[in-house]
Amino acid sequence: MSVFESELKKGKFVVGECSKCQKITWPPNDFCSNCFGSLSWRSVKEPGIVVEYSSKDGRIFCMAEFEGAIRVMGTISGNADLNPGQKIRIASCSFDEYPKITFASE
Amino acid sequence: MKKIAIANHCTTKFSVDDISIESLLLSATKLLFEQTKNLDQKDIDAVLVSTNENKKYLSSVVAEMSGITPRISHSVESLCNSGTNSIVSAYSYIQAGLADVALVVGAERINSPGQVLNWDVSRGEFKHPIFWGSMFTKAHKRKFGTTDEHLAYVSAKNHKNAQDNPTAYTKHYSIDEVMSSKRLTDDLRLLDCSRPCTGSSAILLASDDVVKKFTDSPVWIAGIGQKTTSASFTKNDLVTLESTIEAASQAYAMSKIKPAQIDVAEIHDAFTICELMVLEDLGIVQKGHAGKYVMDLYNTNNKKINPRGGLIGSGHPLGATGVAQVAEIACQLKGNAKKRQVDGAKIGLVQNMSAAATSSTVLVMRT
Repeated sequence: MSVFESELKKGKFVVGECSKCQKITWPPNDFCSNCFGSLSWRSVKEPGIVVEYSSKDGRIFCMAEFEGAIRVMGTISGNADLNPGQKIRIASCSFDEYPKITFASE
Repeated sequence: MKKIAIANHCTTKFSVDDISIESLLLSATKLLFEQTKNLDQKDIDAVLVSTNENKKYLSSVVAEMSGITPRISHSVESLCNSGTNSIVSAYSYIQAGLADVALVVGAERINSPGQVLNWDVSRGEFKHPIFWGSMFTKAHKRKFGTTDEHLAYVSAKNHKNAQDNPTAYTKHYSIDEVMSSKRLTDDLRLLDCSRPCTGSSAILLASDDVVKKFTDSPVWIAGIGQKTTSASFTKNDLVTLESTIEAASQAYAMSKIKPAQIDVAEIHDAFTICELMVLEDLGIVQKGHAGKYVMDLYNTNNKKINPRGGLIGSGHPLGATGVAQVAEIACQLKGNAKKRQVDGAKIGLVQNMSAAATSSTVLVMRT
């Protein structure tokens, strides 16, 4: 299991930042995708924004963006009155075969 | 640069049948031999297999069971554009002088493992293609005012075109039937989606030195473009298929053909929204105008775009799709497409893409 997956399993969404070029590698990797440097792992900076959303069977799914570099899909809890650019936070996250992320609007 | 042509092509009947991948590949290969004059096993220098099936050494299996002992033999996997990737690889072997004649055969089973890219953690729990299709659709609706009716015209047109394609497996649906089909997400209905199926298709590529042995009407590959922007869906701009724009630019430059000169095209309508976005990003219509353009095609019974029915009308056997697209355009440019024929077609285009257009191939073909 990768660092990203094991931290997600503990409820923490972490990102790998390169100790050499300071760029964030996303999706998560074992090394920096820009310069092949080593990654240090830290919590993602919030809030993020809604990029786009839709829904299935009344459950809203959306693409969110954090730090201008990390785009990830998850569900949104609560009100459906959303707009792209709206600020959101990660309400919960876990990992079981695949990431499960729930966002909440600010 | 050598001139390289499609000497012949064939496609088997698409279905939902349980047929082994080997049988699918071999049935298309057998059909190609039966339908190509003067083709002997000894002519074939390269055998390339396009599939996402998790089976090993398939190109060599195809070669042995077809009595071929090629110099070059391997499989190509690139999800939904495996087919055109295989054709570009075969083209490259011929261009490099490593082969004169290449067999490209693509096949997929309905339960293909290529339908979901499990690696992509950025999709979270939303792995199925319907979710990226919904993101594209919602964003296009928001930016350009695209409506459910625009989308329904894509589906109805491609299902209608497929009625004249003897290898397609789907049936005719009216606009109303598309718009009342089961709603899968807030933005896509069942009949907005292409569906996986079982099928195979084969192409014989040959250099201009030898192609006349097999056909009097070769169809030349005049332009090739390919681009991979990422593997993960979420890197995409949601209203622009960047890989298609770049691939098209390369193919147009190589062929010295402009979008307005394209007479007929097979494009990758994985979802209805994809046909609209591809038309725009190929430069066939202005950005935001594809919905109206497709309505006009439907209302005038114009088969210029996806005459065989595209993926939505024909079915989508992943590894065979790109090969079948090229086969259709070759058929059109030879004037052999019968009821599907676009009159006077001389220049054609194929656009094939993978994993939410994170990679695209564009081929320009001409007589």
